[in-house]
Amino acid sequence: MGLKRLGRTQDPTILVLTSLTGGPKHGYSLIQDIESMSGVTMGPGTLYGVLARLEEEGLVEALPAEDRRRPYRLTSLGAATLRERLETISNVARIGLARLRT
Amino acid sequence: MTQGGAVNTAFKLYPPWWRDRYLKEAQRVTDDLIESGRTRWRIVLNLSGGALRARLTARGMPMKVEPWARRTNASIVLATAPTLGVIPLMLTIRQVPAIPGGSGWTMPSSHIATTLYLVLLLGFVALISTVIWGYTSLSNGLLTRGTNGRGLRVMARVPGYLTVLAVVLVVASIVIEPHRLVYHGNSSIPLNGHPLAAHDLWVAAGVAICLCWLASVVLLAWVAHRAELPVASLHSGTRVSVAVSIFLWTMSAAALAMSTVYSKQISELSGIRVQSVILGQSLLLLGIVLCVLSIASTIGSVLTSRSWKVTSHLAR
Repeated sequence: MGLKRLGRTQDPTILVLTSLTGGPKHGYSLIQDIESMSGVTMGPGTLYGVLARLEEEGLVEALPAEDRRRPYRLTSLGAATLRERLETISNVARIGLARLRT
Repeated sequence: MTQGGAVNTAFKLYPPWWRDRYLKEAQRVTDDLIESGRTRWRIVLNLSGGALRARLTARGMPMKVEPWARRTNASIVLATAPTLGVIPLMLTIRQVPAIPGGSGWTMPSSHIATTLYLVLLLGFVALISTVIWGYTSLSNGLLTRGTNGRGLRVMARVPGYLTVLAVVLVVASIVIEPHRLVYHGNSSIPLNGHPLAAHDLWVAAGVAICLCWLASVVLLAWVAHRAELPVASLHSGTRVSVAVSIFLWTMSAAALAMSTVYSKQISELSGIRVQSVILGQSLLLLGIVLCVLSIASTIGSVLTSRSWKVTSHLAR
């Protein structure tokens, strides 16, 4: 309820990149993994919007398709970008939690 | 598993480059989601939002001249098509800028209204002139590209020919209209000419203008879908788009300002006041519709400018 009041806090780009850190995944397994990881139910419109953007920026790359299922994997640039972003988020989270404790 | 009609329609909303690249896998994901119990309407809504974003942002679009030129085409159409809505709207204006009543006495606000009315009319004239300039460039571009089909090349000429026909009919009507002779001070009698034929010519000119309007709608839709234009035409189309947006906003501002002036006119003669308020309300409606058209045109011209930058860069 409280989280809902704060609005949408999960960035779909981060969610897709984080999901791909566990290895290459195709669209449906990405959606399932993101849902189990964060509780976010992503639709195909959102997912392919994010994938198109990440592919354009060279953060992910598509692998050969099998039976209309195309897996995607994280590139080294994508891994570096994600690490940097997660460290910032983690820093903010650490500071915020520490301040809440005092 | 077959896709639902609504899901298929949502996929059709995506731009062609997106469908070429992602359609098969996205359909597979959609099939899996439906199978796992996700409701169809949620998927359709999500896909429609995605299609809108893909069209507006073009993120992930291949950096090739053809798709970017097509995108520029479609954006120019989006920016200029609102003009076709403005033409019938302007024909609905039946007001006089001075206060109605015919006494020759006017309030200061009437002078402001007269000026605003002139701004509205000048904006309209500038808009039409810009569109004629854009049409000339468009039809030349369509005719010079051999890859455009015969039907499109014929269609490119139709609005121009119909406009020329309408002008000829109007001139002919004026020429054969009866010259009037003032008789007994107030009444007049026809001296010569062909009043019935002149009237018929006016009607024919009106029909030609309506057909021209319809032909322009068809031509714009055709251009947005499958026309190929040379870079020079796209360049002038970009400038036309920006000019159209500016003139539409000018007209919107004039109409809204006029509506305020008329609504606030207070006269000792209550009949005039009522008339002013009614005029104010109808002008407010006109102003709102013009604003909506201006917003659509502005979105189109912003998209055109962005697409044109990429297209010209890739075409070099």
